[in-house]
This record gives sequence, C-alpha cells and structure tokens, in this order.
Amino acid sequence: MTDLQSQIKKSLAGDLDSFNQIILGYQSLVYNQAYRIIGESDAAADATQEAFISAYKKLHTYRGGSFKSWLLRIVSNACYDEFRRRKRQPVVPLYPDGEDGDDLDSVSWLEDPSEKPEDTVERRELSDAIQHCLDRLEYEFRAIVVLVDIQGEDYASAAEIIDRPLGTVKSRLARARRNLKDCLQGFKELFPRGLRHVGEV
Amino acid sequence: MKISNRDWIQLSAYLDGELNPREVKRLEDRFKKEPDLQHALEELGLAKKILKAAPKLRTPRDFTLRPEMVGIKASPRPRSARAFRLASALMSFMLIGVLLLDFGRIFVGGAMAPAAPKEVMLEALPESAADAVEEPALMEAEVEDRAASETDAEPPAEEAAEAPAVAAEAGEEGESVGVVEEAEAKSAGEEDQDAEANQADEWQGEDSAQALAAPTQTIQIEIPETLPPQATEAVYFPAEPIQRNENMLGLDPFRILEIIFGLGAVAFGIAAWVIRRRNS
Repeated sequence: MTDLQSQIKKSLAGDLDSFNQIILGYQSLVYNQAYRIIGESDAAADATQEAFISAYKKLHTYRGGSFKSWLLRIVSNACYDEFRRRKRQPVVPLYPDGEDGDDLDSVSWLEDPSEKPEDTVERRELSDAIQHCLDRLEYEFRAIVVLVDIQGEDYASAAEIIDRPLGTVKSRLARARRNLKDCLQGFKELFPRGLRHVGEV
Repeated sequence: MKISNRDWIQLSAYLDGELNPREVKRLEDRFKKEPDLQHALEELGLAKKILKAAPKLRTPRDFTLRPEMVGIKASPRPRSARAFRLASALMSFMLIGVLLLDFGRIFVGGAMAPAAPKEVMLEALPESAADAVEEPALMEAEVEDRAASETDAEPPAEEAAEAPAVAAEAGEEGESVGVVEEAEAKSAGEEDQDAEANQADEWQGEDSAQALAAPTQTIQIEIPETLPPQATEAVYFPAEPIQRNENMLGLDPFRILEIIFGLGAVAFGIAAWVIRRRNS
C-alpha cells in the first residue's frame, strides 16, 4: 500500500493529521488551479480551503483511481461556486492595483530567494500576462485549458473532472487555445528566450 | 486560406496526441500542402508551451485543516477525565439516595420531636389540653377574689380568721400557677378594693346590723388535684427516649455515608475539571 493510500485510509478513520499530510502534498497544485481559474489570490485561497474541507468530508466517495483528478474535480467545483458568487456580488479590492495595472499582492508568492531579481520580475510579468489572457476566457474554456495545458491532464481526465463529454473538451480546448494565442502575441517579449521566435514566419 | 473550426480542433488534438493514426496521417499530408495550417499549428503549439511554462505560484498560506473546520470537537476528553466525571455523578446519585432514605427514616420515626422548641410544642397542643392546664389557676383566682371581697365587706368572726388562710392558700397556689395569673389576681383584688370603697359609702346610711344579719354564702369549689386525663394522655412527648443508630464515635451511619458521598462527588468533579483544563 502506497503512502497516499495509507494516509487516505487513516483519514477515513478520522485521523485529521494524515489528511493534513495529503494537503501538504497537494496544496500547491490545488491553489494554482484555483488561482488560474479565479484570477484573484484571496478568492483562490478561499476556494482552496473550501476544496480541502469538502475533500475531507467527501473522502468516503473516493473510489480509487487518480487522487489528483479527484481533488482537481473538487477544486474546480469550488472555483465554479466562487466564480458564480463573485459574478453575482462583484468584489472591489480594498487595495488598488499598481500604476502599471499589476496586482500588488501577487509579489510575495512569486519571490524566490534563489532567483535573480530580473528573473523574478520576468516570471511575475509572464505569469500576469498569462493570467490576463486567461481572464478573458469564459469559465468553461478557462477551466479546460488550465486543466490540460497548466496541470497536464489528458482529455479523458479533463472530461471527468469537469463532467463533460470528451468531444466538448476537445472543441472547447481548441477554441480556448485560439483565443489565448492571439492574446499572448501581445506579450511576446515576456516569453521565455527559447520561445520568442517560435511561430514567426 | 481560412482554417475551419474543425481544423482548429484537429490541430489542437494533434498537439496533444489525441488523434488516431489515420487522422494524424491525413493531417500531416495537409501540412505539406497548406502552409497556413502549419503556421496555425505552430501558434497553437506556442500557446500551449507558454501555458505549460507558466510559473507555479507558491501558496500564500498553509491550507491544513483544524478540527473545528471540519466539525470535529477540539480534543476528545481523556479517559481519566470521563472516569472521574462518571464517578462524581455516581457519588452524587448515591448522596441523593442516602439523603432521601435519611429524611424518610426521620419522618417515619418521629425523630424531629426532640429537636423542636417547647414553645412550638405548646402551640401544637390542642385547646382542650391547654385549657386544662390553665383553668384551675383561673378558678382559684376567682375564688380568692370573691372570698376577699366578702371578708372585706362583712367579715364574720369565724370566717375572718379563716380568710387569711384561704387567701394564703390561694396565694400559694397562685404562685404555683405563674406570674401572669398572680398579676391578674392582684389587679382583680385592686378593683375589688375600689368597689368595696364605693359600696362602703353607700352603706353608711343603712343599718349595719341588718346587713350583718344576712347569712353569707360560702362557695365550695372543688379544685382538681390532677390535670384532665386527655392532657396527660397526650403523646407529644414520648416517654421512651428515641433510639438512634450511632456508632462508637457518636455519628449516625447515615451521616457518615452522606459525608463520604458528598466529599467524593466534589473531589471527583474537581479532578475531572482539572484534567480537562490541562488537556484543553
């Protein structure tokens, strides 16, 4: 029995510490998924927390298979709920964006002590550019492209996570990529060096 | 050349390796003939690579769960605390049981009587018994008054000598009755003296011989020597001493049990509380 299976079994017996060990292993994945879908750090943190609470309470519904896919499905649902809630009640941030339109609270989680400052800035700008383009997509397209292109899920898993047919996943992903490629062309200078000239005729 | 939606879906699926071999072969043949299709594939591929290269965000905080988040009570009470609480509850129930038994025994055995004050006991007496105690003294006082008035008004020679004896007798018995009765007798005597003075004034013009010729009636009153039987038969003061179960220390076993259970309930309760406080 793997460590994960053992931790799941203990968690099912009510051992919260074992489930917290699982959380520590997956919280980065879940938070990234939530942030890329919602596009706002505090709301993404709330959705992540809700997803883990929900996962603990619904752990008995896990029937084996990919635990990552099961967890991504829960966080996707939590993000969808948060997305709908924010659509009904738009949130005005307490702290305004910076002069260049950047989100000021996004700096802390991008800081990496081992990274050069200019690289940190480049990474942050690239991340913001990607998020800017993702935010222009509708929720269903955004969720699929994040699952497949950022989280690396295959079509079948993505279809299972968002509970849609495989054909729907294919078509929506293609449409999302078309929109993204057009949007990202405007941030070509931020691309990693090896990718800046790809696709140029 | 315009690329159709179906072509975009095919290109996207081609990038992800989601096409079957036949579709792959057909699409690759088209790439050779259609450079725009090839260019679109490169753009889609670039977008896919950019997204894949998106920086991983570090979590702003820890998302581990606390018990209250998932509706779990903070910390289960230790077994010792539960045992102490149970013991305290048992002691309390036993204390209540012993108290009930003790009170029931007291009421059934009439053990409350010795502890009651005398005044309460007298008030509890029926009126007939109380009257039986007080009536003889009152009757004696009346006799004394009448005898005194008659002797003062017209003391015959023989009775005049006996009157002080009667008065003395009445006085002695009056003392035995009590201070209240004595005071009443005194006040009655003073009133009789005033009445006699007034009557003496009236009698000044009358013939004293005529007045003396009338025989004086002597009232014979039988003073009961003992109290009426119903008073003596009262059972409010049991003759036999009340028997109580006492040990060598002079403590009732029920009292000992009450003390033990009471102290036990408190001690176990405090122990359970202390353990809970330490673990919380």
